[in-house]
Amino acid sequence: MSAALVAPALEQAAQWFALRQQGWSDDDQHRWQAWLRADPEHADAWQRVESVWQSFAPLSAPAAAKALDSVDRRRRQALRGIGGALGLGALSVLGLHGLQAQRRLQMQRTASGHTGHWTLADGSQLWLNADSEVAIDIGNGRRALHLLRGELLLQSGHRPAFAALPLSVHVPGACLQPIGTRFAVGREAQGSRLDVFDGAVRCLPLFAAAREVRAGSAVQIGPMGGLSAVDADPLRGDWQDGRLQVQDTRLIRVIDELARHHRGYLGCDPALSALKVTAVLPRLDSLQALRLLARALPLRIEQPWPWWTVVRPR
Amino acid sequence: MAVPAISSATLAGFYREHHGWLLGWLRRRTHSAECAADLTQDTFLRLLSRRVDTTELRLPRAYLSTIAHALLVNHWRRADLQRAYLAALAEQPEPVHASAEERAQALQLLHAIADMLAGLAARPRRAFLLARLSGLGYAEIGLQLGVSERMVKKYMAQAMLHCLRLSGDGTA
Repeated sequence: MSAALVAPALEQAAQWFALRQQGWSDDDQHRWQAWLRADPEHADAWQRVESVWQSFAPLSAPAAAKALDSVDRRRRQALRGIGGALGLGALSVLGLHGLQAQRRLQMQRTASGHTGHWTLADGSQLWLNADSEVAIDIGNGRRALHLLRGELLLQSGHRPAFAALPLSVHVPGACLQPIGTRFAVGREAQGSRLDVFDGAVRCLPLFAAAREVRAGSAVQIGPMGGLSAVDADPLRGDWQDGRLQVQDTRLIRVIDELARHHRGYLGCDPALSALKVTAVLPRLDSLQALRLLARALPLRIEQPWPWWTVVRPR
Repeated sequence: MAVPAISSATLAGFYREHHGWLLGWLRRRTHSAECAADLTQDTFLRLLSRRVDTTELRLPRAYLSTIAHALLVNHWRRADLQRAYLAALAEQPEPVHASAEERAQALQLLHAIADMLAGLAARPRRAFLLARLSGLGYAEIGLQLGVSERMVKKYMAQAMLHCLRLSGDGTA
């Protein structure tokens, strides 16, 4: 789950809502009323909770429940049908489906909170970030990786047997060919992102001209292969050793990065977003990282429930 | 990537060259001339709004059919949802009397709600719907999802926050 700047009033309103639906005590209700009165923003936020909840009213509840459920179920079945290749763009679903039908691919995946490291048959070093999955198709004249989910970091290898065969990494919309290099590719909500740290990567989009992306630069790859240059992000290249090293980086950026490996919700008070941080943090232990930040910066960790963490000004 | 404006003559030529083909492609898949015509227009509109330089497309028809396919999937998804809702409505013991207009509004609303919940993970989404539409308590929802009541409470807050973010500018 990713962190975002959310007004504290909205977070609190969502928490009060979850408590109300559970059934609250008189005492809870008094505390809620006090919260409502404390700030006009609270009242606004609560108004929005009610309007979301009431927006369902014109529907026939049983029919809407059945309809939404049946459509969900059909979609789940359809996704299972393509070999668990969840979250793939339509193009790559077809491509991968064909591949899997022809031969068994080697799959590597990591759970949330864990990264993985493998040396591939061609000598390449592959790191998988937490909660990621890749299909490996190396050998028998093939040398390709398909990133299905999450993020990978690759240091291309040079075993002589593979010298004549270019390595390629596939994401929806594009094929990436590294040229003696170290780079990271991550799947995002819309498309993918390529960050090159050493050497260069040839980016071959489906429908546009190829482009070479050099060390220190990055591109966003749309699901249809549209390329747009973005600023390279050094934070994206250093996760393989489990450390998050930041220098003069905005706090919201750091929290966002920690949120990728955080269980539950991790938010940041907008008042803190511009605060600059220089630190070395444990990347996979977000709570420990937050405690370290709280020691050095004017912030505190608010955790009303174990799965709900917000960083606030002290 | 900055995309230069494309001349309208280029676009008109592109439209003339591929319109008939795309219409046929969609008609074969929808079995409805009207629906195919709508989706063809939508496909070209989508192309326009992306400011794609059509002269640079190596495989213009592959590009068009990819956009059209996405629109088609969305169309089927909406039609499925609509059909399932109307079928469930008809099955109810006490038939609901609604005017055509009320029914159309209800369907719009259903699509909007489905879109609003689309970005949520499966379990928070299910918990939220069970609470809202089936009126279940946290204990029952927990049983259905195989999670603790505390987890259900988490899902409910998560789902509500998701809707709150989408229902306004997100920062209030």
